[in-house]
Amino acid sequence: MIETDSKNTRAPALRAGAAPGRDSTTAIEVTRLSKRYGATMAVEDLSFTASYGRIVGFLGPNGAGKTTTLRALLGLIRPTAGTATIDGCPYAQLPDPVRTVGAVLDGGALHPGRSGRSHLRVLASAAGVPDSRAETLLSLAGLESAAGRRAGDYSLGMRQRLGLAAALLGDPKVLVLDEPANGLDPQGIRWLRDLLRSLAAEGRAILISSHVLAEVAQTVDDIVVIRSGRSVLQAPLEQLLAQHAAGARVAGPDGRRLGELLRAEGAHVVPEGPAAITVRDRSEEQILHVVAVHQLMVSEVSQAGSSLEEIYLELTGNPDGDTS
Amino acid sequence: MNRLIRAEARKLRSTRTFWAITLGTLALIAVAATAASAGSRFTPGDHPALQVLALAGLAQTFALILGVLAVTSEFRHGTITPALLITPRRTPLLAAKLITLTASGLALGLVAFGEAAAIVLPILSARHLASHEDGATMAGIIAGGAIAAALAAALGVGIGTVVRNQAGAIITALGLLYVFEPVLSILPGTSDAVQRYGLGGLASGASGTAGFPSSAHLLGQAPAALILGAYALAVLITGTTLFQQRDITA
Repeated sequence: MIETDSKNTRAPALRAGAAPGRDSTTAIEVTRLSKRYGATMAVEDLSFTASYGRIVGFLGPNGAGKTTTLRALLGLIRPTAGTATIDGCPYAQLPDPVRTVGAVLDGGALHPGRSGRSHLRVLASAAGVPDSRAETLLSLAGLESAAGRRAGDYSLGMRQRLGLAAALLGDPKVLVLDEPANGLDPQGIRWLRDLLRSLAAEGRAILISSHVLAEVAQTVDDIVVIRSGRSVLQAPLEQLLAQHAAGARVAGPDGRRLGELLRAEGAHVVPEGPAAITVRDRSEEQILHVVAVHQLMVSEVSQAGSSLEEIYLELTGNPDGDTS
Repeated sequence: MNRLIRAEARKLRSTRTFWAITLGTLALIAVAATAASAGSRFTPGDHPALQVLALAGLAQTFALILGVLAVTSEFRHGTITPALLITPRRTPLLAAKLITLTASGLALGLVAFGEAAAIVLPILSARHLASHEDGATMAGIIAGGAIAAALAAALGVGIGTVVRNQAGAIITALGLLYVFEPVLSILPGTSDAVQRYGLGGLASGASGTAGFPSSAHLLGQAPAALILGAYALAVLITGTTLFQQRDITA
């Protein structure tokens, strides 16, 4: 498995533990953060960083401490121990928070009696942003026609999009989004993905939390997984997938014969029933080469290994966190 | 700070609750003042104008509620979170709310007492119930009533900040006024103190009208307003301290 303290992360986006020095690409830095509520440790000794230009998925089951971590990062709750900073600065001390960080928590809280437009304008005046910016963002979020309606009538998806519009008021360079895909339909999720990708491509750092890996797998560059308030993994998503790739699965009448040939070449072959094998250390191309040379009959060659969801469930569901 | 006050003013104006409370209060006072000045019987020794104008003190109760709602609705609907994301420093945010609500309370009180005077004085004079109060006294009542409404709104902001839960804060505010004080005044020897130093008595005293009952012994306008202001300040300081320390999980 990829240990929390692994030193071999390829991208600079995620460094484990208390990072010795912050470089200019580090946007968010959570260091040994703990938060205790009464007898419960909601977050315990959690560390991770997020860099500019990358989207970090902050993953964990419901109740794992994601929202608590984000609230601590945003200066809304006081950590019991540790720090959470943006550009090296606690949120409350940021010189220009509106232009530095945009965030949506709980799907963007709204007064049900206030229209979407009024909601955005209230925040725009507090932020010192002109009303025209609020209008621009209403149309970006596809809410022009609903803007005059009371927000209490909005669907969850509309609330999410309005929340995102509010987060973008100051054109911030860091975005922190708590479960942004909640309540979005497939088109909405795609819209969100495209928007986040283009915002990250402009050099912004984006931290999104989710309890469903599949929801963000196509969006994120790096993942941080927490369980029961503790970090279990932080790595680039690609690296995680590569480490869990398990070779190829071959099925068909000559499956057994193929296995013997490959084993003779020194491949690690595992039989899977009477007519199927899994080859751990050969690519599909290498296997098909053997099939062609020996004129074997096979009906299926596919990538074996854990699906993203399986990897995620292993990481978050296993009490030892042992994924090997 | 101007930005924050503008945002708070927009928050107030953009909900129906605010308009329902302010316009409803003014309508209620108009009806009550008309009925009381046209229909009440007065005995010699009464101060008809002061007794009927006391009804405009309803504006102070509703200013208190406005103050409570301004804070607690933020916690109830979770809008405190986006507000604090834009303004992470909590004291300026609360100060902007306090200034906006105090100004709203002042305006509500001014209109309410002005309206009441405009209704009550002509009706009483038509009934040949001569008013002993001169123009300066009337101006003092309108100004005092407005100041008391402003202080009530400030007190409401303070109570809302301390209690946070909307229903709990409204029950606290109205309970103090309509349950705690009357019950306390039943105890032997406390009635006078409650009339002078209770919220209701202080508001009437600051307004310069008669109290409830009209025989109540009230403090003068200035001392009553000062003590009411001191109450509001004490609750606000407590609220600010708590607001600074508390985790925002709404």
